[in-house]
Amino acid sequence: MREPADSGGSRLRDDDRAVSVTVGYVLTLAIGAVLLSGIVIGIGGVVDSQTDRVVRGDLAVVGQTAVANLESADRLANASEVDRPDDADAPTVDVDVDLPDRIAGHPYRIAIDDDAVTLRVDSPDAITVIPHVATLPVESTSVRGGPIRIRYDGDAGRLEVTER
Amino acid sequence: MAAISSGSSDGDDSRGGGPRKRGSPSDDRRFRDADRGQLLLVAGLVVAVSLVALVVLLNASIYSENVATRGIEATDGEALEVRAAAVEGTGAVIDGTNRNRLADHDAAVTAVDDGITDLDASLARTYADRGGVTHVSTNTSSMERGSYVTGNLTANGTGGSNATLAADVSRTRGFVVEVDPDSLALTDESGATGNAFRVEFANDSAETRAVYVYEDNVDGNITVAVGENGGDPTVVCSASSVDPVAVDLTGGALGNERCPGLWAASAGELSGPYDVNIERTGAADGDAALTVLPDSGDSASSDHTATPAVYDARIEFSYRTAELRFETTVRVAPGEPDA
Repeated sequence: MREPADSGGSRLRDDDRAVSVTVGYVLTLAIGAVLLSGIVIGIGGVVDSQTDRVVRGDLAVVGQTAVANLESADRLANASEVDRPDDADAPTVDVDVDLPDRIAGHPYRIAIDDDAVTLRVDSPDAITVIPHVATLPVESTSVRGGPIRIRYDGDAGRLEVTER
Repeated sequence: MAAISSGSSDGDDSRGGGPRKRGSPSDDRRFRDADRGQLLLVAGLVVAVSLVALVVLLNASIYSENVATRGIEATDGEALEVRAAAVEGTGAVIDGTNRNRLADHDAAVTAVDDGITDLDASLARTYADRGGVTHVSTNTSSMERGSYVTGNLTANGTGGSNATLAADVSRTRGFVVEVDPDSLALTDESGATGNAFRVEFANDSAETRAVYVYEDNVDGNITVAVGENGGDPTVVCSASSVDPVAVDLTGGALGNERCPGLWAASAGELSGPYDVNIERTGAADGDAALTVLPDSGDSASSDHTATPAVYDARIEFSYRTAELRFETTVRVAPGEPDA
Protein backbone atom coordinates (compact mmCIF):
# COMPACT_ATOMS: atom_id res chain seq x y z
CA MET A 1 0.00 0.00 0.00
CA ARG A 2 2.61 2.48 1.02
CA GLU A 3 5.24 3.96 -1.29
CA PRO A 4 8.74 4.85 -0.11
CA ALA A 5 8.82 8.11 1.84
CA ASP A 6 11.51 9.64 -0.32
CA SER A 7 9.48 9.36 -3.49
CA GLY A 8 9.07 13.15 -3.94
CA GLY A 9 6.94 13.09 -7.08
CA SER A 10 4.25 11.12 -5.51
CA ARG A 11 3.92 13.31 -2.37
CA LEU A 12 0.74 14.97 -3.55
CA ARG A 13 -0.81 11.65 -4.30
CA ASP A 14 0.38 10.54 -0.90
CA ASP A 15 -1.34 13.51 0.66
CA ASP A 16 -4.57 12.74 -1.15
CA ARG A 17 -4.35 9.19 -0.04
CA ALA A 18 -3.47 10.21 3.46
CA VAL A 19 -6.73 12.02 3.71
CA SER A 20 -8.59 9.02 2.50
CA VAL A 21 -6.56 6.73 4.79
CA THR A 22 -7.24 9.01 7.73
CA VAL A 23 -10.92 8.96 7.01
CA GLY A 24 -10.69 5.25 6.49
CA TYR A 25 -8.95 4.81 9.84
CA VAL A 26 -11.41 7.01 11.60
CA LEU A 27 -14.25 5.13 10.02
CA THR A 28 -12.65 1.82 10.87
CA LEU A 29 -12.05 2.91 14.44
CA ALA A 30 -15.57 4.25 14.77
CA ILE A 31 -17.18 1.15 13.32
CA GLY A 32 -14.88 -1.05 15.39
CA ALA A 33 -15.70 0.92 18.52
CA VAL A 34 -19.42 0.68 17.82
CA LEU A 35 -19.22 -3.03 17.12
CA LEU A 36 -17.10 -3.73 20.17
CA SER A 37 -19.34 -1.59 22.34
CA GLY A 38 -22.30 -3.55 21.05
CA ILE A 39 -20.60 -6.82 21.87
CA VAL A 40 -19.57 -5.63 25.32
CA ILE A 41 -23.02 -4.25 26.08
CA GLY A 42 -24.64 -7.35 24.67
CA ILE A 43 -22.45 -9.68 26.70
CA GLY A 44 -22.98 -7.49 29.74
CA GLY A 45 -26.72 -7.85 29.27
CA VAL A 46 -26.41 -11.60 28.89
CA VAL A 47 -24.29 -11.78 32.04
CA ASP A 48 -26.86 -9.72 33.93
CA SER A 49 -29.80 -11.77 32.75
CA GLN A 50 -27.95 -15.00 33.45
CA THR A 51 -27.01 -13.72 36.91
CA ASP A 52 -30.67 -13.03 37.58
CA ARG A 53 -31.70 -16.44 36.31
CA VAL A 54 -29.00 -18.22 38.30
CA VAL A 55 -29.85 -16.29 41.47
CA ARG A 56 -33.53 -17.20 41.19
CA GLY A 57 -32.73 -20.81 40.37
CA ASP A 58 -30.29 -21.11 43.25
CA LEU A 59 -32.70 -19.46 45.66
CA ALA A 60 -35.32 -22.05 44.77
CA VAL A 61 -32.89 -24.95 45.18
CA VAL A 62 -31.45 -23.64 48.46
CA GLY A 63 -34.96 -22.88 49.70
CA GLN A 64 -36.17 -26.37 48.89
CA THR A 65 -33.17 -27.83 50.71
CA ALA A 66 -33.91 -25.70 53.76
CA VAL A 67 -37.59 -26.65 53.68
CA ALA A 68 -36.83 -30.36 53.26
CA ASN A 69 -34.55 -30.31 56.26
CA LEU A 70 -37.00 -28.26 58.30
CA GLU A 71 -39.70 -30.84 57.61
CA SER A 72 -37.19 -33.56 58.40
CA ALA A 73 -36.54 -31.96 61.78
CA ASP A 74 -40.29 -31.69 62.27
CA ARG A 75 -40.77 -35.41 61.66
CA LEU A 76 -37.91 -36.25 64.03
CA ALA A 77 -39.29 -33.90 66.68
CA ASN A 78 -42.70 -35.54 66.43
CA ALA A 79 -41.09 -38.99 66.61
CA SER A 80 -39.09 -37.94 69.66
CA GLU A 81 -42.34 -37.25 71.53
CA VAL A 82 -43.93 -40.63 70.72
CA ASP A 83 -44.06 -42.86 73.81
CA ARG A 84 -41.87 -40.42 75.73
CA PRO A 85 -42.65 -40.48 79.45
CA ASP A 86 -43.72 -37.09 80.78
CA ASP A 87 -40.98 -36.99 83.39
CA ALA A 88 -38.18 -37.87 80.98
CA ASP A 89 -35.55 -35.35 79.85
CA ALA A 90 -36.46 -33.15 76.92
CA PRO A 91 -35.56 -34.76 73.60
CA THR A 92 -32.72 -33.42 71.46
CA VAL A 93 -33.18 -32.96 67.73
CA ASP A 94 -30.50 -31.02 65.83
CA VAL A 95 -30.33 -31.03 62.06
CA ASP A 96 -27.34 -29.27 60.47
CA VAL A 97 -27.79 -28.05 56.93
CA ASP A 98 -24.86 -26.96 54.77
CA LEU A 99 -26.28 -24.19 52.63
CA PRO A 100 -23.96 -22.06 50.45
CA ASP A 101 -22.66 -18.75 51.86
CA ARG A 102 -23.40 -16.91 48.63
CA ILE A 103 -25.68 -17.35 45.70
CA ALA A 104 -24.06 -16.49 42.34
CA GLY A 105 -21.58 -14.43 44.34
CA HIS A 106 -24.24 -12.50 46.25
CA PRO A 107 -24.95 -12.81 49.99
CA TYR A 108 -28.52 -13.64 50.93
CA ARG A 109 -30.82 -13.97 53.93
CA ILE A 110 -33.16 -16.75 55.03
CA ALA A 111 -36.35 -15.86 56.90
CA ILE A 112 -38.34 -18.68 58.47
CA ASP A 113 -41.79 -18.60 59.96
CA ASP A 114 -44.73 -20.92 60.61
CA ASP A 115 -45.76 -21.11 56.97
CA ALA A 116 -42.79 -20.67 54.69
CA VAL A 117 -39.08 -20.21 54.18
CA THR A 118 -38.26 -16.94 52.42
CA LEU A 119 -34.90 -16.33 50.75
CA ARG A 120 -33.88 -12.86 49.66
CA VAL A 121 -31.00 -11.46 47.62
CA ASP A 122 -30.74 -7.67 47.54
CA SER A 123 -28.77 -7.21 44.32
CA PRO A 124 -30.19 -8.35 41.97
CA ASP A 125 -33.43 -7.98 43.85
CA ALA A 126 -34.93 -11.46 44.13
CA ILE A 127 -37.20 -13.17 46.64
CA THR A 128 -38.24 -16.80 46.71
CA VAL A 129 -40.92 -18.06 49.07
CA ILE A 130 -41.12 -21.83 49.62
CA PRO A 131 -44.06 -22.96 51.79
CA HIS A 132 -43.43 -25.75 54.28
CA VAL A 133 -45.76 -28.18 56.02
CA ALA A 134 -44.03 -28.57 59.37
CA THR A 135 -46.66 -29.51 61.94
CA LEU A 136 -44.85 -27.99 64.90
CA PRO A 137 -44.72 -24.22 65.38
CA VAL A 138 -41.59 -22.63 63.94
CA GLU A 139 -40.03 -19.64 65.67
CA SER A 140 -40.00 -16.68 63.28
CA THR A 141 -36.42 -15.72 62.61
CA SER A 142 -34.11 -14.38 59.94
CA VAL A 143 -30.55 -15.61 59.49
CA ARG A 144 -27.68 -14.94 57.10
CA GLY A 145 -27.45 -17.36 54.22
CA GLY A 146 -24.95 -20.14 54.96
CA PRO A 147 -24.75 -23.23 57.14
CA ILE A 148 -27.72 -23.35 59.51
CA ARG A 149 -28.91 -25.54 62.37
CA ILE A 150 -32.53 -26.53 62.89
CA ARG A 151 -33.21 -27.40 66.52
CA TYR A 152 -36.25 -28.69 68.34
CA ASP A 153 -36.93 -26.97 71.63
CA GLY A 154 -38.67 -29.75 73.52
CA ASP A 155 -39.74 -27.54 76.42
CA ALA A 156 -41.34 -24.92 74.20
CA GLY A 157 -42.47 -27.52 71.65
CA ARG A 158 -41.23 -25.56 68.65
CA LEU A 159 -38.54 -25.58 66.00
CA GLU A 160 -35.80 -22.94 65.93
CA VAL A 161 -33.34 -22.07 63.19
CA THR A 162 -29.93 -20.60 63.99
CA GLU A 163 -26.75 -19.77 62.13
CA ARG A 164 -23.95 -22.22 62.57
CA MET B 1 -12.22 -7.17 11.14
CA ALA B 2 -9.31 -8.33 8.94
CA ALA B 3 -8.36 -4.71 8.36
CA ILE B 4 -8.41 -4.04 12.07
CA SER B 5 -6.19 -7.00 12.78
CA SER B 6 -3.57 -6.01 10.23
CA GLY B 7 -3.63 -2.43 11.53
CA SER B 8 -3.09 -3.71 15.00
CA SER B 9 -0.05 -5.71 13.98
CA ASP B 10 1.31 -2.58 12.34
CA GLY B 11 0.98 -0.74 15.58
CA ASP B 12 2.76 -3.50 17.44
CA ASP B 13 5.60 -3.44 14.91
CA SER B 14 6.07 0.28 15.29
CA ARG B 15 5.98 -0.04 19.09
CA GLY B 16 8.58 -2.81 18.89
CA GLY B 17 11.16 -0.41 17.39
CA GLY B 18 10.91 -1.34 13.70
CA PRO B 19 12.71 0.40 10.89
CA ARG B 20 10.79 3.68 11.39
CA LYS B 21 12.31 6.38 13.56
CA ARG B 22 10.72 8.89 15.95
CA GLY B 23 9.75 12.19 14.31
CA SER B 24 9.16 10.58 10.95
CA PRO B 25 5.92 11.46 9.08
CA SER B 26 4.43 8.14 10.10
CA ASP B 27 4.33 9.09 13.82
CA ASP B 28 0.71 10.22 13.65
CA ARG B 29 -0.31 7.03 12.01
CA ARG B 30 1.63 5.09 14.62
CA PHE B 31 -0.23 6.73 17.49
CA ARG B 32 -3.52 6.15 15.80
CA ASP B 33 -2.56 2.52 15.32
CA ALA B 34 -1.57 2.32 18.98
CA ASP B 35 -4.94 3.78 20.00
CA ARG B 36 -6.72 1.27 17.87
CA GLY B 37 -4.66 -1.50 19.47
CA GLN B 38 -5.61 -0.34 22.94
CA LEU B 39 -9.23 -0.24 21.98
CA LEU B 40 -9.04 -3.80 20.75
CA LEU B 41 -7.06 -4.89 23.79
CA VAL B 42 -9.45 -3.34 26.28
CA ALA B 43 -12.50 -4.57 24.41
CA GLY B 44 -11.03 -8.05 24.15
CA LEU B 45 -10.25 -8.04 27.85
CA VAL B 46 -13.78 -6.95 28.71
CA VAL B 47 -15.25 -9.61 26.45
CA ALA B 48 -12.94 -12.25 27.90
CA VAL B 49 -13.77 -11.33 31.48
CA SER B 50 -17.47 -11.27 30.65
CA LEU B 51 -17.27 -14.67 29.03
CA VAL B 52 -15.42 -16.09 32.03
CA ALA B 53 -18.07 -14.62 34.33
CA LEU B 54 -20.76 -16.13 32.13
CA VAL B 55 -19.08 -19.51 32.24
CA VAL B 56 -18.81 -19.36 36.03
CA LEU B 57 -22.46 -18.35 36.29
CA LEU B 58 -23.66 -21.05 33.95
CA ASN B 59 -21.56 -23.57 35.82
CA ALA B 60 -23.22 -22.51 39.05
CA SER B 61 -26.57 -22.80 37.35
CA ILE B 62 -25.81 -26.29 36.05
CA TYR B 63 -24.63 -27.34 39.50
CA SER B 64 -27.82 -26.02 41.08
CA GLU B 65 -29.98 -27.78 38.52
CA ASN B 66 -28.02 -30.93 39.19
CA VAL B 67 -28.55 -30.62 42.94
CA ALA B 68 -32.24 -29.89 42.34
CA THR B 69 -32.79 -32.97 40.20
CA ARG B 70 -30.69 -35.19 42.45
CA GLY B 71 -33.33 -34.95 45.15
CA ILE B 72 -32.75 -33.86 48.68
CA GLU B 73 -31.74 -36.68 50.92
CA ALA B 74 -34.02 -36.68 53.91
CA THR B 75 -31.94 -36.83 57.05
CA ASP B 76 -34.68 -38.29 59.19
CA GLY B 77 -35.29 -41.60 57.41
CA GLU B 78 -32.41 -43.49 58.90
CA ALA B 79 -32.82 -41.97 62.38
CA LEU B 80 -36.46 -43.09 62.46
CA GLU B 81 -35.44 -46.48 61.14
CA VAL B 82 -32.89 -46.91 63.91
CA ARG B 83 -35.38 -45.76 66.52
CA ALA B 84 -37.94 -48.26 65.24
CA ALA B 85 -35.29 -51.00 65.28
CA ALA B 86 -34.34 -50.12 68.86
CA VAL B 87 -37.98 -50.10 70.03
CA GLU B 88 -38.78 -53.32 68.22
CA GLY B 89 -35.63 -54.98 69.53
CA THR B 90 -36.35 -53.89 73.10
CA GLY B 91 -39.92 -55.18 72.79
CA ALA B 92 -38.60 -58.52 71.58
CA VAL B 93 -36.14 -58.64 74.50
CA ILE B 94 -38.90 -57.92 77.03
CA ASP B 95 -41.36 -60.43 75.59
CA GLY B 96 -38.66 -63.04 75.15
CA THR B 97 -37.59 -62.60 78.74
CA ASN B 98 -41.19 -62.88 79.96
CA ARG B 99 -41.78 -66.03 77.95
CA ASN B 100 -38.73 -67.58 79.62
CA ARG B 101 -40.68 -67.45 82.90
CA LEU B 102 -37.84 -66.43 85.17
CA ALA B 103 -38.11 -67.13 88.87
CA ASP B 104 -38.45 -63.56 90.13
CA HIS B 105 -38.71 -59.99 88.99
CA ASP B 106 -35.09 -59.14 89.71
CA ALA B 107 -33.92 -61.90 87.39
CA ALA B 108 -36.32 -60.70 84.69
CA VAL B 109 -35.18 -57.08 85.02
CA THR B 110 -31.52 -58.12 84.86
CA ALA B 111 -32.19 -60.27 81.81
CA VAL B 112 -33.92 -57.38 80.03
CA ASP B 113 -31.06 -55.04 80.95
CA ASP B 114 -28.52 -57.50 79.53
CA GLY B 115 -30.63 -57.97 76.42
CA ILE B 116 -30.73 -54.22 75.79
CA THR B 117 -26.95 -54.01 76.23
CA ASP B 118 -26.56 -56.68 73.55
CA LEU B 119 -29.08 -54.88 71.36
CA ASP B 120 -27.07 -51.67 71.70
CA ALA B 121 -23.89 -53.38 70.52
CA SER B 122 -25.74 -55.01 67.63
CA LEU B 123 -27.34 -51.75 66.45
CA ALA B 124 -24.05 -49.86 66.82
CA ARG B 125 -22.30 -52.38 64.56
CA THR B 126 -25.06 -52.33 61.98
CA TYR B 127 -25.29 -48.57 61.63
CA ALA B 128 -21.59 -47.81 62.02
CA ASP B 129 -21.25 -49.05 58.43
CA ARG B 130 -23.57 -46.25 57.33
CA GLY B 131 -21.78 -43.52 59.24
CA GLY B 132 -24.18 -43.26 62.14
CA VAL B 133 -23.46 -43.68 65.83
CA THR B 134 -26.25 -45.25 67.87
CA HIS B 135 -26.61 -45.74 71.57
CA VAL B 136 -29.39 -47.50 73.43
CA SER B 137 -29.36 -47.78 77.18
CA THR B 138 -31.82 -48.40 79.96
CA ASN B 139 -32.05 -48.10 83.69
CA THR B 140 -33.27 -51.10 85.63
CA SER B 141 -35.13 -48.84 88.05
CA SER B 142 -37.21 -47.49 85.17
CA MET B 143 -38.68 -50.90 84.34
CA GLU B 144 -42.20 -51.57 85.58
CA ARG B 145 -42.81 -55.00 86.96
CA GLY B 146 -45.86 -57.06 86.24
CA SER B 147 -47.13 -60.53 85.46
CA TYR B 148 -47.14 -62.65 82.35
CA VAL B 149 -50.31 -64.74 82.40
CA THR B 150 -50.86 -67.74 80.17
CA GLY B 151 -52.95 -70.82 80.24
CA ASN B 152 -55.56 -73.03 78.72
CA LEU B 153 -59.00 -71.47 78.86
CA THR B 154 -60.67 -74.47 80.42
CA ALA B 155 -57.82 -75.75 82.59
CA ASN B 156 -57.87 -73.04 85.21
CA GLY B 157 -57.41 -73.07 88.93
CA THR B 158 -61.12 -72.84 89.72
CA GLY B 159 -62.16 -76.06 88.06
CA GLY B 160 -65.23 -74.27 86.77
CA SER B 161 -66.10 -72.54 83.54
CA ASN B 162 -65.38 -69.07 84.91
CA ALA B 163 -61.95 -67.88 85.97
CA THR B 164 -59.93 -64.78 86.61
CA LEU B 165 -57.03 -64.21 84.23
CA ALA B 166 -55.69 -61.25 86.19
CA ALA B 167 -57.12 -59.32 89.11
CA ASP B 168 -56.79 -55.63 89.86
CA VAL B 169 -54.67 -54.54 86.94
CA SER B 170 -54.12 -51.02 85.68
CA ARG B 171 -52.72 -51.83 82.25
CA THR B 172 -52.82 -54.78 79.90
CA ARG B 173 -50.80 -55.52 76.80
CA GLY B 174 -50.32 -58.38 74.36
CA PHE B 175 -53.70 -59.92 75.22
CA VAL B 176 -54.41 -62.65 72.69
CA VAL B 177 -57.03 -65.40 73.00
CA GLU B 178 -56.56 -68.25 70.55
CA VAL B 179 -59.54 -70.56 70.16
CA ASP B 180 -60.60 -73.55 68.13
CA PRO B 181 -63.46 -72.27 65.95
CA ASP B 182 -65.26 -75.62 66.13
CA SER B 183 -65.62 -75.25 69.87
CA LEU B 184 -67.30 -71.85 69.73
CA ALA B 185 -71.02 -71.48 70.42
CA LEU B 186 -73.25 -71.24 67.34
CA THR B 187 -75.40 -68.24 68.12
CA ASP B 188 -76.17 -64.67 67.13
CA GLU B 189 -75.90 -61.15 68.56
CA SER B 190 -78.92 -61.45 70.85
CA GLY B 191 -78.10 -64.97 72.01
CA ALA B 192 -74.46 -64.25 72.74
CA THR B 193 -75.01 -63.15 76.36
CA GLY B 194 -76.57 -66.49 77.19
CA ASN B 195 -74.44 -68.83 75.11
CA ALA B 196 -71.10 -67.42 73.98
CA PHE B 197 -67.67 -67.49 75.54
CA ARG B 198 -66.67 -64.06 76.79
CA VAL B 199 -63.81 -62.10 78.25
CA GLU B 200 -65.09 -59.72 80.86
CA PHE B 201 -63.42 -56.60 82.21
CA ALA B 202 -64.89 -55.41 85.51
CA ASN B 203 -63.73 -52.42 87.52
CA ASP B 204 -64.27 -51.53 91.17
CA SER B 205 -67.40 -49.53 90.32
CA ALA B 206 -69.10 -52.71 89.10
CA GLU B 207 -68.91 -51.48 85.52
CA THR B 208 -68.26 -54.26 83.06
CA ARG B 209 -67.38 -54.66 79.40
CA ALA B 210 -67.61 -58.11 77.89
CA VAL B 211 -66.06 -59.30 74.64
CA TYR B 212 -68.05 -62.20 73.20
CA VAL B 213 -66.55 -64.62 70.71
CA TYR B 214 -68.92 -66.95 68.83
CA GLU B 215 -69.71 -68.46 65.48
CA ASP B 216 -72.52 -66.65 63.77
CA ASN B 217 -75.42 -69.03 63.15
CA VAL B 218 -76.33 -67.31 59.86
CA ASP B 219 -73.10 -66.89 57.90
CA GLY B 220 -70.77 -69.11 59.96
CA ASN B 221 -68.25 -66.30 60.49
CA ILE B 222 -66.30 -66.01 63.71
CA THR B 223 -67.78 -62.93 65.33
CA VAL B 224 -66.56 -60.62 68.07
CA ALA B 225 -69.11 -58.45 69.90
CA VAL B 226 -68.80 -56.10 72.86
CA GLY B 227 -71.48 -55.78 75.55
CA GLU B 228 -71.82 -53.12 78.22
CA ASN B 229 -72.78 -53.96 81.82
CA GLY B 230 -74.35 -57.29 80.86
CA GLY B 231 -76.53 -55.85 78.10
CA ASP B 232 -76.94 -57.17 74.58
CA PRO B 233 -73.64 -56.91 72.73
CA THR B 234 -72.84 -55.01 69.56
CA VAL B 235 -70.87 -56.73 66.84
CA VAL B 236 -67.45 -55.12 66.37
CA CYS B 237 -66.07 -57.37 63.67
CA SER B 238 -66.29 -60.79 62.09
CA ALA B 239 -64.07 -62.90 59.90
CA SER B 240 -64.26 -66.16 58.04
CA SER B 241 -63.28 -69.15 60.10
CA VAL B 242 -59.62 -70.17 60.30
CA ASP B 243 -58.18 -72.76 62.63
CA PRO B 244 -57.19 -71.68 65.20
CA VAL B 245 -58.58 -68.18 65.28
CA ALA B 246 -56.64 -65.58 67.30
CA VAL B 247 -58.53 -62.72 68.90
CA ASP B 248 -56.00 -59.98 69.62
CA LEU B 249 -57.90 -57.83 72.11
CA THR B 250 -55.18 -55.22 72.66
CA GLY B 251 -53.97 -55.18 69.07
CA GLY B 252 -57.46 -55.07 67.55
CA ALA B 253 -57.34 -58.07 65.23
CA LEU B 254 -59.46 -61.14 64.55
CA GLY B 255 -57.50 -63.84 62.76
CA ASN B 256 -55.91 -62.11 59.81
CA GLU B 257 -58.47 -59.29 59.75
CA ARG B 258 -58.21 -55.93 61.44
CA CYS B 259 -60.71 -55.34 64.20
CA PRO B 260 -60.32 -51.65 64.95
CA GLY B 261 -61.67 -50.20 68.15
CA LEU B 262 -61.99 -53.54 69.93
CA TRP B 263 -59.97 -52.44 72.96
CA ALA B 264 -61.27 -48.88 72.95
CA ALA B 265 -64.87 -50.17 72.99
CA SER B 266 -64.23 -52.68 75.77
CA ALA B 267 -61.65 -52.26 78.53
CA GLY B 268 -60.61 -48.87 77.19
CA GLU B 269 -63.91 -47.43 78.39
CA LEU B 270 -63.42 -48.47 81.99
CA SER B 271 -61.91 -46.14 84.54
CA GLY B 272 -59.58 -47.32 87.28
CA PRO B 273 -58.10 -50.76 87.79
CA TYR B 274 -60.07 -53.73 86.55
CA ASP B 275 -60.22 -57.53 86.69
CA VAL B 276 -59.85 -59.61 83.56
CA ASN B 277 -62.15 -62.63 83.69
CA ILE B 278 -63.08 -65.35 81.26
CA GLU B 279 -66.53 -66.87 81.43
CA ARG B 280 -68.32 -69.79 79.85
CA THR B 281 -65.06 -71.46 78.85
CA GLY B 282 -67.06 -74.52 77.88
CA ALA B 283 -67.88 -72.63 74.69
CA ALA B 284 -64.28 -72.06 73.73
CA ASP B 285 -61.34 -74.41 73.55
CA GLY B 286 -58.03 -72.60 73.41
CA ASP B 287 -55.37 -70.55 75.15
CA ALA B 288 -54.96 -67.04 76.42
CA ALA B 289 -51.83 -64.95 76.97
CA LEU B 290 -51.46 -61.46 78.33
CA THR B 291 -49.02 -59.26 80.23
CA VAL B 292 -50.47 -57.08 82.95
CA LEU B 293 -49.32 -54.25 85.16
CA PRO B 294 -50.85 -54.70 88.62
CA ASP B 295 -52.45 -51.66 90.19
CA SER B 296 -50.38 -52.30 93.29
CA GLY B 297 -47.42 -54.55 93.96
CA ASP B 298 -45.40 -56.44 91.41
CA SER B 299 -47.63 -59.42 90.67
CA ALA B 300 -51.25 -59.88 89.70
CA SER B 301 -53.26 -62.73 91.14
CA SER B 302 -54.62 -65.19 88.62
CA ASP B 303 -56.38 -68.53 88.34
CA HIS B 304 -53.95 -69.33 85.55
CA THR B 305 -50.18 -69.35 85.39
CA ALA B 306 -48.86 -65.90 86.27
CA THR B 307 -45.09 -65.50 86.24
CA PRO B 308 -42.91 -62.49 87.12
CA ALA B 309 -42.49 -60.28 84.13
CA VAL B 310 -41.23 -56.91 82.97
CA TYR B 311 -44.23 -54.90 81.83
CA ASP B 312 -42.34 -52.05 80.19
CA ALA B 313 -38.90 -50.47 79.98
CA ARG B 314 -37.60 -46.99 79.26
CA ILE B 315 -34.77 -46.72 76.82
CA GLU B 316 -32.52 -43.73 76.26
CA PHE B 317 -31.98 -43.64 72.54
CA SER B 318 -29.48 -41.54 70.63
CA TYR B 319 -28.41 -41.43 67.00
CA ARG B 320 -25.75 -39.15 65.59
CA THR B 321 -24.35 -38.51 62.16
CA ALA B 322 -22.29 -35.62 60.80
CA GLU B 323 -25.47 -33.61 60.21
CA LEU B 324 -27.89 -34.98 62.76
CA ARG B 325 -28.26 -35.38 66.49
CA PHE B 326 -31.35 -37.21 67.72
CA GLU B 327 -31.81 -38.16 71.36
CA THR B 328 -34.98 -39.16 73.11
CA THR B 329 -36.48 -41.40 75.75
CA VAL B 330 -38.94 -44.07 74.71
CA ARG B 331 -41.21 -46.18 76.89
CA VAL B 332 -41.42 -49.61 75.32
CA ALA B 333 -44.45 -51.76 76.10
CA PRO B 334 -45.00 -54.02 73.07
CA GLY B 335 -48.60 -54.69 72.22
CA GLU B 336 -50.05 -52.04 74.52
CA PRO B 337 -53.14 -50.36 73.12
CA ASP B 338 -53.16 -46.58 72.82
CA ALA B 339 -56.38 -46.23 74.76
